Amino acid sequence: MPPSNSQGEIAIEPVDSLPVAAVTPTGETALESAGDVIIQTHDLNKTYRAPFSRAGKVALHDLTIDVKRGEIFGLVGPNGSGKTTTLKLLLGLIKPNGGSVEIFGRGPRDVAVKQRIGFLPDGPYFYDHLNSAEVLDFYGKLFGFSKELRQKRTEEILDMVGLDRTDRKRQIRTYSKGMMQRVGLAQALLNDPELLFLDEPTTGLDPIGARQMKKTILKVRDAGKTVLLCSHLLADVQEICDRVAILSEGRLVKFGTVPELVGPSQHFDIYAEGFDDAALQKARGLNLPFERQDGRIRFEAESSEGLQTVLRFINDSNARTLDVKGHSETLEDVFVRSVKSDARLS
Amino acid sequence: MAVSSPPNSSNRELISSQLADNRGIAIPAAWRTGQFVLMGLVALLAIWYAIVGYRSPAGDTGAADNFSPFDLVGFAIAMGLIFLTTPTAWVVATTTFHEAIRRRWVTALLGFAVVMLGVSTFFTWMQPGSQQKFLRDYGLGFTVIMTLIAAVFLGVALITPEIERRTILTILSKPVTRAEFLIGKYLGLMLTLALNLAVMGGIFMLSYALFVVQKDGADALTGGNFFANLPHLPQAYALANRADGLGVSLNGVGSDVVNLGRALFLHMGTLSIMAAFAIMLSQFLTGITAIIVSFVVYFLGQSAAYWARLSGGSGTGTPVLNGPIRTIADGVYALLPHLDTFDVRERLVNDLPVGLNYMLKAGSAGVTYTAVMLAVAYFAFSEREF
Repeated sequence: MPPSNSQGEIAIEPVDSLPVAAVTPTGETALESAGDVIIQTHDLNKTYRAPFSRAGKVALHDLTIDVKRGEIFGLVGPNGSGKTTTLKLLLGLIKPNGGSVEIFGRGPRDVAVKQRIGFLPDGPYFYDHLNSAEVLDFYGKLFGFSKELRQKRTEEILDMVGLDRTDRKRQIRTYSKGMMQRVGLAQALLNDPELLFLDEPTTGLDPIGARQMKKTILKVRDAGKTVLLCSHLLADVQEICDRVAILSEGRLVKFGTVPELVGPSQHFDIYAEGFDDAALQKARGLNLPFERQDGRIRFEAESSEGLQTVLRFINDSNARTLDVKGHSETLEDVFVRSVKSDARLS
Repeated sequence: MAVSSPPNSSNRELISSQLADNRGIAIPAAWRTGQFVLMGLVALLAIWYAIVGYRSPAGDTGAADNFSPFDLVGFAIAMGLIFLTTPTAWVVATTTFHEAIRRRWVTALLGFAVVMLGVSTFFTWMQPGSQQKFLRDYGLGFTVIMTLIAAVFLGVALITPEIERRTILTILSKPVTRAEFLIGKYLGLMLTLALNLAVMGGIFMLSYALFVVQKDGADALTGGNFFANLPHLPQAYALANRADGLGVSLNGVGSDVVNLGRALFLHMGTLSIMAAFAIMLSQFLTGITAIIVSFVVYFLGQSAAYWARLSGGSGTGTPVLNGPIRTIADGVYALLPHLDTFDVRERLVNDLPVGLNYMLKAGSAGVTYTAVMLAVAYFAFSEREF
């Protein structure tokens, strides 16, 4: 049955019906790395150099991370932080200047590794003279699928990503950005990969499509697969990722599970008025962070103890507390703080 | 909204079973056997080329006579390339072929060439008295130029657009090695060029044969008009083959067509070298520069015999040059593809046969040069970053 929506967003069917296989049974293949770690980088370095030049730009500096089986791993960072470089190193599209990469215990260019991974690049492109069914048939052939399996799998996966049957007959060059993204996801899932690399998977998708993409990623994880996700959308990363690495200027500045990074701490903004200059001088002496805002003073506190200290200070200064706003820290807060801190250090 | 497809356990099992060996496309025993047979043939050709070919008279065999370490390396690389031509490379080749023939300019080029060759007999009035010679020159020349343009332009635009359009990212993340990708792209290009050559050559030889037959045969029946004569061709053939020997002479049209066929077949050597050369150049140069250099090399390669005379190589007698300039000429001659070996138009005009001996030697030169160019292209491509 053709999907009713085909003009921009990716439509994904409910979790239970995702046609992905269960986790590969242990011992099926010799391609296993130690323990549950399926991606391991060690002191990975990459410097881009212009031809015939010794000078270059360090894109990645001593990156050591591991990705465990069955998790959604987020790689975040500002533009130029080394996310895409890391992804390309993991896929063997570029070579490191130092350090090592192991995927399933092998090098990233190993054909046996590629047999078990899927990759959705940022803004995927395909042979534009082919239609989507022909593109998937081509990729199916590269995996060595039989004709019967290619036909079944192509139908199944294009149904899954919600590409209309009439659209499948059209050459890809006539597709919208959202439709291209669907075909990109389809080709990434074609071989039922154990490890899925997604580079900005929600690019070009409308909010509904982006939401459906998130559901798909969770479904893939629930089926026992591993997902490595590069994204700028930190709210999404916080929502779906199990562990996150924050990169800044090619360096790993934070790495851990989302609760570890975000922490249980609360952040408070305390608004007050009625301070004289001596009181503010005293606040500086006590290292209480504050700023003037619309004629008021806004203090910041990172814990309930800090909140108590600020409130005591306001009371001792004979000033008035106007408002106290508390909010939990988000990954975005951690991200901004980490990146700013790293920029100051460098 | 989305459509649900029910979980399909049989598909999962199929996928699992087909991914179980973890080696990409499994290589069937018959495929491997075929590869070894081909490698054996190349080895035999190398031995024959080294022993018989080298000792044969230079005048008969032209530049292909020069046997050098370059040739040995070329034969070795050719065998390696055959071994690396896996079913995966073939999948890339067929897709490249489909992509190429769907390009509008390729279709337009082929269509233009077919029309021009189809109406070639119309232009014979320009050279009264030697219409056949004109037709041979025109047809072969036109086919050579058209296919050469296709080879260079498609060769230069074979890999670079994949990188620029980033289609290569998804392909190389599939179970494809860079060697398989490069060989597949080259083979796909050669399939496209072979199709172009076959269509153009077929039309050309057909119009040539029809012209000669109608001119010398059917004219006797109906006089002059080519299209009016078409229905009478069987009678013309019958006249030509009369058992009493009184038939109309067809000026050896049969052997002519065979020679033209051989000339076109040999042209595949030029196309193979130029395609590999263009692919190699595209790894180092921008598109337009690679195209210009390719055509310059083609014209220099067509005059390889001239460079040989300058340096006194290839048994051409006393060198014209001496000293450092001769060394430079030697270097140019050694590095240039000897494309004049594959161009037998002059031989045909002078009614010299294009023998099997000649074709084997020219073919060997084509194989070795192509192999070396592809090897250089591979080393550059394997280091490229996307």
